[in-house]
Amino acid sequence: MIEFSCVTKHYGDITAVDSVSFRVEDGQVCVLIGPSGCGKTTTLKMVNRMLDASSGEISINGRNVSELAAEQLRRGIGYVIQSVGLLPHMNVRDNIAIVQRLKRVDRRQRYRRADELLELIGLDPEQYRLKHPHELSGGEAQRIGVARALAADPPILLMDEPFGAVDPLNREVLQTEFLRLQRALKKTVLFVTHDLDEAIRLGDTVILMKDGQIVQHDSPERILAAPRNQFVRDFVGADRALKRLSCFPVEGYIREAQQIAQQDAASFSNGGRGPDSVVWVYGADRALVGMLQRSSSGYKVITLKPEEVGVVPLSSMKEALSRLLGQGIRAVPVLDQRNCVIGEVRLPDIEELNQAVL
Amino acid sequence: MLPFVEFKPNRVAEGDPFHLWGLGLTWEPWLLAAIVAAALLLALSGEGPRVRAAKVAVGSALFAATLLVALRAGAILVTEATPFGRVGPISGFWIAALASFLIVEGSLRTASWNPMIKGAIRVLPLAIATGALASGALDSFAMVQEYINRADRFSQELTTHLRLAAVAVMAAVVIGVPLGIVAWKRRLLERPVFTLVNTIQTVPSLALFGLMIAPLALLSRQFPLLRAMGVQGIGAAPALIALTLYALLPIVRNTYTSLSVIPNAVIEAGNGMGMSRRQLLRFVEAPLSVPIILSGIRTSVVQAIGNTTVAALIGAGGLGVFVFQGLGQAAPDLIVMGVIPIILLAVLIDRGMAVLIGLVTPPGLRKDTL
Ligand SMILES: Nc1ncnc2c1ncn2[C@@H]1O[C@H](COP(=O)(O)OP(=O)(O)OP(=O)(O)O)[C@@H](O)[C@H]1O
Ligand SMILES: [Mg+2]
Repeated sequence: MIEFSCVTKHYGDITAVDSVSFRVEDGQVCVLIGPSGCGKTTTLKMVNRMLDASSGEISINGRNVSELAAEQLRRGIGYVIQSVGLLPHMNVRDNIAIVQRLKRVDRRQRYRRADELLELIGLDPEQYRLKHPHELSGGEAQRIGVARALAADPPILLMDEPFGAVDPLNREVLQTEFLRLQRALKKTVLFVTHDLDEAIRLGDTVILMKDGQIVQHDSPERILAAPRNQFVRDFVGADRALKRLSCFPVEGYIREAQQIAQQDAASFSNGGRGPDSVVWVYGADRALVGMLQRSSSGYKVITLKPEEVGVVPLSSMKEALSRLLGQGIRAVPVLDQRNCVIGEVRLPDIEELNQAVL
Repeated sequence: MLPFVEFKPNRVAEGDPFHLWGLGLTWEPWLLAAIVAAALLLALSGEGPRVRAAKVAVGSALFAATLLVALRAGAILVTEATPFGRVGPISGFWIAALASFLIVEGSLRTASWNPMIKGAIRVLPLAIATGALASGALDSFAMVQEYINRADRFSQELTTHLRLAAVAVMAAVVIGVPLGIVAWKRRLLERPVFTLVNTIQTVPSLALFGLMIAPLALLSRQFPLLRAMGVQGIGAAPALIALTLYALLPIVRNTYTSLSVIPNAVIEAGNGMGMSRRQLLRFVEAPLSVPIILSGIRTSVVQAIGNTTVAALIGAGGLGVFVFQGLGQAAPDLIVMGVIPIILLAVLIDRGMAVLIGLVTPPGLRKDTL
């Protein structure tokens, strides 16, 4: 548990953080969000004493951080910085293993752990462990940054815009991965972002800051449904109904899907289903290859790319909606890791969810 | 064709130029001509790995043949009848040698061969020349004669030269690296530090050596202790000080640069994961900056080898002694005898440092060095 009580930070005349109090429960993700310069990074850095508070108290599991040795404290807290900061002269494996090296864990064990983490963040160890940072894409580097923070298995994670340098599409992939990891690992996370969708999707609670002060600290749904004042309303924007879809993972809205093997597709005949129903076509390894569409001469197969149309159970309903609109179809397939269809999300369900808020 | 070698009946006499075919040699000039023709043909035959390999071979052969012709010329021209006679390579020889170097180096530069093989090819002509020297086949050469007459003195001055340069560079490292670090850590000191080392660099070396004389002579007179340590207006002390001052700039500059190019994010990440000050130095700062500092030292050493030549003027010794003796006695061969080892030393040390830098550069950074 991380607890801030009346924490203030001055830089000379500037008050970067102004009497802030909040608490992050164990195993929860708390997202700090707000306009640039509102004090998010400063707040985060005071937790691991990269900065010391001017006044007030920060405690971790009841112990005041200012009474702990900074180096020891930091080794027990995973830290993902805004600009990644991989060590350019070390390969990926050594980068991930560095905290354990500081803790004098022996090499074999460190390397085993590094491979484990590469698996965990979805990068093939064979392919990546000996690469150097300059050979990585921005998104890969950020994932390695997250893996490095996780390596020593710290109970607490501080993440400063960890997906900031990634394009929107890959950012959604990384967010999904983060949710999957967080389900398994149950860390206590303080997460900074600029992106409201990200905050809503990842946070158990969201703290909206302005000029160093907390404006509203609430669940994502409450922030959207009950903005405390005009600032929050403006920040959330007019499309908060749409944003609210980010709160819900697809997994609660999966419907059974109709699917058919590729070789049987030619002989398909409509079994009297309504106009909403889509028939997915799978190939040899049961992976999605396309969908059936009615044409003048019966049905034909339209080829689809699974990664372009599909979502996974941890994707948000907003993502599902954008896939629906992007592809112009009435349902999106929900895929497992091997791209097999495990169900679908249908437009009426999204509409219903959307209406609930208005 | 240009005259190839010259013959002098004695040390200071004017030389008689001899052409390649005027030496009374039989097949050797034809061999050389054939190799030159082959080189010309190759120059016209485009690019490609095979052409490149052929160029390296022909270039190396050109050097060997040039040396061979010069050797044979020496054997023919210097006989019992002319005990003080000596031959010297002149324009034709030098042009052939230079052409050989350009052909080999030009092809090696673009070749993607194993660095070991490349190194071996570069060292080969040096090895051949050294072999020829050791076997006594070059004894009739003027430079070599100058050397034989002073063999003891030569090795003594060579040692002095190396020692002066090495001590000066070491002192410059001891002073320069901390100075670079201070300039980086304390922004206020950055300007004064760089103004100082830059200004030193702009003083002509001769003037700087001269400048050392007066204050040191004064100090020596004032403090008997210093005098007892050998500090005087002339000799090793002023030379070392001047050489050290010269060697500072590249070291200070590269130290400063090496620290300034470490990304802030990397330092922050190091601190953020709980590195102590020492661990940050060991895991982050040193691996990233040492290669750059070393390349500053590389520049300094090469410069120091050259600058040490001038140290002979204030009585510090070194290979410059021969150069200035040669100037004084109007004996060009003596000058050349002093200059060639200086050049060779500089080149060898430069290559050696390059290899060392390659070794200490972590693989993740290697793409843009060397
Ligand atoms: N080292 C510093 N010295 C002086 N002022 C600083 C320093 N670091 C931050 N500030 C100021 O403190 C305020 C909060 O900065 P902080 O970095 O916490 O903002 P942020 O919310 O993380 O912004 P961003 O979203 O742009 O990363 C800003 O006004 C900034 O200018
Ligand atoms: Mg920030």
